[in-house]
Amino acid sequence: MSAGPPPVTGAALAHAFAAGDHGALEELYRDVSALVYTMAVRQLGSAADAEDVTQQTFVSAWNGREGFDPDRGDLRGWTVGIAKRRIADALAARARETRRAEAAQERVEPVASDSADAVLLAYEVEALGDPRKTIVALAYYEGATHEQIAVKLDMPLGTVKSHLRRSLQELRHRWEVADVAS
Amino acid sequence: MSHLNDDALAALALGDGSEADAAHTTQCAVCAEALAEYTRITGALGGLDGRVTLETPPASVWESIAQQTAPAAAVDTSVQDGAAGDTGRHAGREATRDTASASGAGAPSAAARTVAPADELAARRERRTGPSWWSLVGAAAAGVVIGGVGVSMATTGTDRNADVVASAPLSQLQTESSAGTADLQVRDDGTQVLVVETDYEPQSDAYLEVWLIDEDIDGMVSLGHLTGDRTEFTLPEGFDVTMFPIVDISIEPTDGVPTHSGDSITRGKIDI
Repeated sequence: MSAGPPPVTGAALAHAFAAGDHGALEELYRDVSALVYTMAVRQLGSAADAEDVTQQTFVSAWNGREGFDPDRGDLRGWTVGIAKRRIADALAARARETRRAEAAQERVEPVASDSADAVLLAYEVEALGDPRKTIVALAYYEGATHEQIAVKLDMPLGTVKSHLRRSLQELRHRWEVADVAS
Repeated sequence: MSHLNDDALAALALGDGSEADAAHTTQCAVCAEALAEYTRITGALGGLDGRVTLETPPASVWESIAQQTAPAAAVDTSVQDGAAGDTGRHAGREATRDTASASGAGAPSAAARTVAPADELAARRERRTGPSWWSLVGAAAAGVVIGGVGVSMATTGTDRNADVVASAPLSQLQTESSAGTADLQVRDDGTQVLVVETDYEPQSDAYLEVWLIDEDIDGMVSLGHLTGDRTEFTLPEGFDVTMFPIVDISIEPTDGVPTHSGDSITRGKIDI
C-alpha cells in the first residue's frame, strides 16, 4: 500500500474531537480520508459518489460526535464504521434508482462486493507495522508457508507463528470496532 | 470446559491449533462463532493481493466538509496541501509567501488573535498539517510575539561564569501567557549557550523540541530536546543567533520525521 502505515489515532485526538475541537476533525480527515475515499471508490465504482460518501462521513462524524465516547471507542474505527454505513446507504439508493428505472421487472443485482472491506483489511495489515505486516504479507499475499517465512526472515518458527496469531487477533479487533460502529 | 482464548482460536484459524481445541469448537457455539470470525479474516486475507493503493479525495471534499462543520472562525482549507507536502520545506516556503500577502489583507492574523479558545486550538492543529503553521510564524515575525529584551550581566545563577547577552521572554502561543525565558549566554571561553527555562510538561507519545528560526521564516535549526524546566543548549562555535532569533518549542510526535511538526506551543524572540 503506497500510503504507508497510518498514524494510529490517539487518545488525545479522540478527546479533542469529542470535545468539539474542529482542528481534531481536520486531523482525523488527514488520517482517514484516503482510506474512506478508497473504500468508497472501490465499492461504488464512482469517484463522484465516493466524494459524496467521504463528505457525508466526516460531516456525520462531526455532527454525531456526542455519540462517540473517547474513553471507550477508537476514533478511526468509529469513523470507518460511519463510512461503511454511508457506502451501504449509497448502494441502497442506487438500487432503488435501478428498480425504478427498470420498472421493478428485473432482479436488482445483489451487492456482493466486499471490496471496501478488502481495502480496510489491507490498510489494517499495513497498520500492524513490522515485522507483522511483512509476515502477514508473505503468508497471505505470497502464499509462503510458516517455515518459509521463518527461513526468509531468519526468525524462529515459533516467533513467526506467534506474530501471526497476534496479527489475526489485532485484525479481528479492528474489524469488530468498525463493524460495531456501523 | 471453558471457552478458548484468542491465542488458541487464532492458532486454529492458522491451522496450528490442538486437536482438543478443534474438537471443542465443534461442540461450543460461542467458540465456533469466534473461530468463524478468525477464519473470515484469514479467508479475506487470502483474497487480497496486498496491492491496495489508497487514493486521496480531491481538495474540494475537505472544503465542503469544512464549510458544513466550521465554527464561525475563518476556515483554513489548506489541509490537503498539508497532507501532500507534510514535511516539505518547499511547501512551507510557498505557503509563507501566500499567507504573507493574505495577512497583508488582514485576515489570518486577525482571526488568530480574536477567535475563541477552541478555535485557537483548531488553528494550532492546523499548523501541524503543514503550510498553515507558517502563517503563524509569519505573524510572529511581524511582531505578534514581541521579545522584549533585558540585557544584563551574569546574574542568572549558572554554575559557570557566563554573561547573559540577551534574554527573550517566552510566550505560550495558545494563551499568550508568559512561559519563561530563553537566555543567550556567553561563557568565559566564548561558548554560546541558550538556556531555556520554562514549565516542562512531559508529553505522551511525543517530545518537546527547541528550534531557532530565522526572521524570514525560511530556515530553522533544531537545538535538541527540552528535557526539564531548565535545559541548556550549547550552540556551535560561530553560530550567529541574530540569523535565527526566534526561539520555538514544538511538540514532535515520535514518528521519526525530523522536520518541524508545525505544532508549536511556545515562542519568543531574541533581540540582540
